[in-house]
Amino acid sequence: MNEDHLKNFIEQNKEAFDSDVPSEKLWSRIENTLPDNTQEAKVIDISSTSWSTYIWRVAAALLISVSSILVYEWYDHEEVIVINTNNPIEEVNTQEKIINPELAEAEAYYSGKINNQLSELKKYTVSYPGLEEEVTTDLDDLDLAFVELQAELDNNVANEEVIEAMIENYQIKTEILEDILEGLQSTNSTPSNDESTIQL
Amino acid sequence: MTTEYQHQHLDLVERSKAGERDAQYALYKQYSNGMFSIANRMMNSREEAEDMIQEAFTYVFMKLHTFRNESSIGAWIKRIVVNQCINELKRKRIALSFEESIEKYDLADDNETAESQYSVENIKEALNALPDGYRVITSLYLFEGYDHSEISQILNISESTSKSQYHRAKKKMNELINAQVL
Repeated sequence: MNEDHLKNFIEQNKEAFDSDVPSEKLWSRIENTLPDNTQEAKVIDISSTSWSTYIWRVAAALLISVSSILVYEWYDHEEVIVINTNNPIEEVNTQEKIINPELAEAEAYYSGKINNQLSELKKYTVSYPGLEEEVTTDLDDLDLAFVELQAELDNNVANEEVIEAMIENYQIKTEILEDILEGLQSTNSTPSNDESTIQL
Repeated sequence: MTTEYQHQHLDLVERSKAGERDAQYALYKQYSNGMFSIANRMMNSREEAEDMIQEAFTYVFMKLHTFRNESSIGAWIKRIVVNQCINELKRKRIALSFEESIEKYDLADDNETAESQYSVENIKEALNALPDGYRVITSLYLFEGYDHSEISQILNISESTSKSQYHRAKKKMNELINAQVL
């Protein structure tokens, strides 16, 4: 068969052909488009495909920080704290009109569930200094994401992806709270309050 | 590729998935020159190539959670870069539609150049002198390791078109290189 000298030469010198160097500034241009991973981050890439990633990252960060606190506390002292149960999602709900029926249903279901979980969590406010701050800060991040989703939805009511992301936001929130509660129940023998009042 | 090297890569990918900025930067640095070279060849413009790399890496970091180690991360990123470039070329309506009925190419007429005549520079110049459609097929075939069947799928053309266009492009490149050398 005919030998392809051109292809051979290129294959043998591939590295020399692949050594073009882009401008130094290119990375900062890329970095600017990525969601900020610091706590102060309030600017989020608005394209809907990035929401899921963003929300999951917040969820992952929260789970890691909460479990490290639980592990730490397992070996340490007990102290009374109070969990802040202000639920920013409630504020969002009352401010915004819900048009999509699927979303309205999800909202009714999840906000009730989340409220129950938060009041449940309040009963465990012994023994875990630092937990309150971590939980509220990170749930705030989810709420921020939610508010921005809501703003996007207002621009485009029928956007399936946005609605999906909002429902996912709720799901993650209840999963996080559930995991925290499970962790608390297994590391801490009993809550300080009367167990008969617990509702889940 | 050593096992240790692969592990380092997996670690970078996992940390990048978690949004660690230093890992994302390391991953970018690892592949930026190679990927930029690909985009530069396909777009034939540094500026456009940088735009393509910016968009491709933004996409890479956004979609990294969908990467399942089924291919190497390098191959995965490369595919994203190539797709990004092709979409942009299509968006710019650059002639990526190829006529099926081009003249039959006679391999016997091939003015094959001796390998010793080639240099990195004269090949780059000859490639950039090709019309857009030819340049894209030629880049994918010669540099990015795609065969004609894969190219036909990527560009939505027939396999024989990919083959014949490549042969015409190669003939043109050899002409240009021979003219330079002589």
